[in-house]
Amino acid sequence: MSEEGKPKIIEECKAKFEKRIQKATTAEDIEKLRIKYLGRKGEIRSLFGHIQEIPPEKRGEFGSHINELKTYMEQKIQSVSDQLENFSLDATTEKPYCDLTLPGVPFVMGHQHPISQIIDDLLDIFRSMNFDVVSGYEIEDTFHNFDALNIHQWHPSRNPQDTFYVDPEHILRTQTSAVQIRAMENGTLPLRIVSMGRCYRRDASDATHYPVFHQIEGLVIDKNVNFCDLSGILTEMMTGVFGTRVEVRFLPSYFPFVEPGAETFISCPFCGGKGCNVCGKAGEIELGGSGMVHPQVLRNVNIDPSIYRGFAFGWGIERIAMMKYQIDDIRLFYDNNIDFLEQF
Amino acid sequence: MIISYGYLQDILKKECPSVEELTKKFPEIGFEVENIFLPENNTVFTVKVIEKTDIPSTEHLLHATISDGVQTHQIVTSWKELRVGGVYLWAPPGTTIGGITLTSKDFQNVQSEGMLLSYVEVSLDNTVVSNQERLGPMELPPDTPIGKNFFDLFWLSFPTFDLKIPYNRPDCYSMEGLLREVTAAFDIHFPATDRRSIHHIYPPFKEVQIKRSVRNISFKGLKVLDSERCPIYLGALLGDVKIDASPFEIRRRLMAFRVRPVNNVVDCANIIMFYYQQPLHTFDLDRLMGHHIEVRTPLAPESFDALDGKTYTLTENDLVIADEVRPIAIAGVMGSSDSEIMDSTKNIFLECAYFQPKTISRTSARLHLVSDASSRYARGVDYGQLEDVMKITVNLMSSVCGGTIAGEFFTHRTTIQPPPDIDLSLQEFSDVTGIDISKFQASSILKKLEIPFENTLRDGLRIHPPSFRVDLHESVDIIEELLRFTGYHNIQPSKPMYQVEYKPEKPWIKMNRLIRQQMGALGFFEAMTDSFAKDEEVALLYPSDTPGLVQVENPLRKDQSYLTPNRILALLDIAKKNISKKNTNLRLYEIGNHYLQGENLYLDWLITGDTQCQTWCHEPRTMDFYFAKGIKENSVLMRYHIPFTTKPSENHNVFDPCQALDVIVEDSTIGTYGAVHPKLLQYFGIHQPVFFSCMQLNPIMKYLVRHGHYRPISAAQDVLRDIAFLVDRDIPAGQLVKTIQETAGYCIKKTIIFDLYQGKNIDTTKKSIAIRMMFNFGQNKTSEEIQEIMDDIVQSLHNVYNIEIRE
Ligand SMILES: [Zn+2]
Repeated sequence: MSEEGKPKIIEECKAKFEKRIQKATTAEDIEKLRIKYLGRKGEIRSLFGHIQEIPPEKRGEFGSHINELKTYMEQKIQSVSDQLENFSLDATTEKPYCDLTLPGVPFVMGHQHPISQIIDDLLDIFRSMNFDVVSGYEIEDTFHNFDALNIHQWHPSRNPQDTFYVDPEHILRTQTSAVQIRAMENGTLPLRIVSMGRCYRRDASDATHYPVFHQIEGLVIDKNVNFCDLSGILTEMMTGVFGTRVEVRFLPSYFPFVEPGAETFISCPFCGGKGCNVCGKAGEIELGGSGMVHPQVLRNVNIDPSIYRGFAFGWGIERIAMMKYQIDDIRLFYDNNIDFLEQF
Repeated sequence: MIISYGYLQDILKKECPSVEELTKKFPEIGFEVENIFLPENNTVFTVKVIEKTDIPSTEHLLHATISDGVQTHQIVTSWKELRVGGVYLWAPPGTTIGGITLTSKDFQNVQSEGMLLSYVEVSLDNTVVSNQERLGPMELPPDTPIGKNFFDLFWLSFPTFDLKIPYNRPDCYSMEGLLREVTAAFDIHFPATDRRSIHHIYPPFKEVQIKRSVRNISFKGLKVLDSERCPIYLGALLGDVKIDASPFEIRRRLMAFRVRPVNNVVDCANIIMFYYQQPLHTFDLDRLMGHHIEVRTPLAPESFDALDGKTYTLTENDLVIADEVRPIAIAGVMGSSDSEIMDSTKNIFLECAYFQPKTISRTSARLHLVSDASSRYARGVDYGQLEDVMKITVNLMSSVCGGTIAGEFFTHRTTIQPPPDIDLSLQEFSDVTGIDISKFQASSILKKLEIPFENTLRDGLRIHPPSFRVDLHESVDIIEELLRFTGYHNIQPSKPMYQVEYKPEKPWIKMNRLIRQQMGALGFFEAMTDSFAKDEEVALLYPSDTPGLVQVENPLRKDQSYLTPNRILALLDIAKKNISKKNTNLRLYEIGNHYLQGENLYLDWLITGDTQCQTWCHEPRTMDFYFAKGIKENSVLMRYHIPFTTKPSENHNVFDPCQALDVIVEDSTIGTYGAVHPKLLQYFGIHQPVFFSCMQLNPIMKYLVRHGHYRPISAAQDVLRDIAFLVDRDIPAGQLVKTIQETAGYCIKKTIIFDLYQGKNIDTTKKSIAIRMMFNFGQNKTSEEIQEIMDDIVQSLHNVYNIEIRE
């Protein structure tokens, strides 16, 4: 018996195995080694033959030493054989033919409608500028859609030729401003909000008109805001949408709910103002109305215009999308042809 | 508003800015240039017919001698209506008309040199020619200079601007108002007295020509019965007018404003309106009944035959001008056909009034009747200039139409409260605009715009809004004026000020975002549809007495009056269109409102066709109910751990009765999914199965934003066991699974039904079902312990369903 308590005969067997396996260089060598030690008539088996020579009280221990050695040899042979195999895979040149140009399984990934992608972009932009997003109903009462916005009772835009009526007091909203009016009624000041959503105008559909469209409107009410701040916000917003720095320009225009009111333009993001097909050689693109909130609108929602001022803007999202993707027919958005939707 | 550059130049002479300068300046001061009509650069001449003779051998040709003032020419023409002494348009040989170059032609030994032209041949719009001229040659007033190029003479060789006038600037619905803006913008000294001179509308005017008569006509006067709606009404009588075509100077101004000539009286009234903004109306005095004109509200519903040939019903909200018997005009909107000026008219009653803008806009909107007059009255005309305009008008008419002014004007006038003064501080200007202005700058802009003010405030000005500026009510209105003339280009972007405050994403936005992401990952494309539904299609799904259907009063198409109660209608329509384009495998979704008992936000989706197209390594699999069920349950519902149950749906109009389930969350049905009813598919012409799901989003919103708790992961091994058995075929698989789960309790992780068989070798009342179970006990168990649980499961299944285990 050795000092470690392992029988000498087992130690010797292990030592010889170590020497031999170091010399093994081929799969054949390994296989011979496996048969010699682990085979039916192998060394391990013959070690068990010695068990009669051991006193009965030590036979259990002897057996477990042999099993330990067996496990060790199995693992060693396996690992050396794995190494040899890897080596030989690298070395051989013959492989089964695999046509890597065959297409993979055509998983279909869907995605959002181009309009809702632009909406998401806008949501990101306005969240980054710390705006709240507000929503509302599409069936709106005439007070919130018109009266509160300083659109008097006989203004042409209230005409049933231009606006869908559900009943004399309710319409399909023509803008999301109604949502902002509600926010002003309910909200605490100051206010920085955007609203987006489906709006309706009674336009027969053609390449540039559709009875349904999406609008984004922004509103800031605070003690100390001015027209230049509006310009700043719009510059950041449109730079975000087109991913290239644009300049905002205003021309005077009339909207009942803003004063001073403006028609808003950006320098063409495609040509930088030189003139191209997208901007119709104008070098700039018209986006829609904006301006300083009319004091009467503030009074309509019980905000004191001598303390608070505001600015607002409201543009069609389809128009932005048409510019961004150079789409020339608004109806494509609502045809939902897969060949169209796939492209975005 | 149409502004002819030639006319503008005629007024401003050398001071007139160039076309390019105006094109740039108009939008900068708030007048969008909607269109620029380019000039005609052809040359055709004004000529007078001196003589005409029929050509005997022909039935319809005649021979005319024309003079261009220097020479005479011979032409052959078929226009029998040619008048000797009349002035016409002549294109000499060599002129190209409509792509054809004219030559001298020989008609039966008569040389025809060139031709006389109709309005079409000189490319005139048919709205600027008289009814006669529409059918025959273009006939110009007899005093038109001859031998001149027509296009130069009538200012048509210049561009014409079509300007969009802001709704709140009725003063600029006039040449005079725009002249004020243009001269202010270009710093041209052109005082109001010059601008308003009658010579700009009728250069030959001479004061001495005016004839006045004191002759008393039987007409007695004016009764204004509603002073609120008609605060000011001026009337004048003109006797012995001679109705004729207008002279040259009036005709070319009509052409400049793009107005159709009618007769000299009406033309004069129109010119005055386009130049001075004030609408006028003329009545044939001899066709009025009684001796008074009344301005009153209609007596109950009163019917009225208007000039446009239509009959309108007037109500107590309107205002009429009436004689003692019947209305002769809808005040401020349109006159009647039986009081209008005719060729035989001798004496006229002239109206120059101020009507309450609200009344006119209400009537005009209600009757869908918009006239040049109503669009001005509705916005508010300048009541301060009525007497002035009345004087100019009678002078003009007397000069042009030869009448005599009979007696004094009839006047009804109530005091119109002048608008209150506006105090503007320069600080407020910079507070609102973000740019500074000096008192000097502000004063000089207001002076140019003829807005009176006092320099009595320390930091600002006190403004007295003039009667022609109905848009000036408070300080921002003045701020806009100052900004308009200092220039909007001075607005430069400031760096946005960020509020440092965390604002969480709104739950509904988050929900929208998460759902859209999931649907995309599941291979769905997002659709967007309008919200209207065809009446016929709605009727397929809902009986017309269904409560809560929402209808639009004024749909674009009569047969499409509903707001969609279910977006399946639109989605099926899209599916059909895509299928017809060979896109037969579809997964589409939309987030939008269903309109039934108000508006409710839904997630709707539709699938049809194969789950994937066939490829070299894939057999296609047709989508079926269970595919739909997998999408439905595994996406939003299970992804967000929303506790739900299902039950067979009763919605048999939309869904196949055998293959549809309602989804129930918190005891209410929030949606339904399943196979679309074959009849509905047939209606849409779709010949492949379609599966549809609709689900309300508001009830599930709270689940999407909830933060779940972490459940510790067991260190013990998962254990798989399969079980296969025969059971009565009517016993639902769901119940079997439920029993297994109840028996095994917490330790069962998953059950998969991996085989289901009915048919050969099995009793026809039975089915064979094989279920794989995955357990995790939280600790390792021996095979004997596991076997005990399996035995329990088998025992339960046996007790409840009398199953027969298969080996
Ligand atoms: Zn461009």
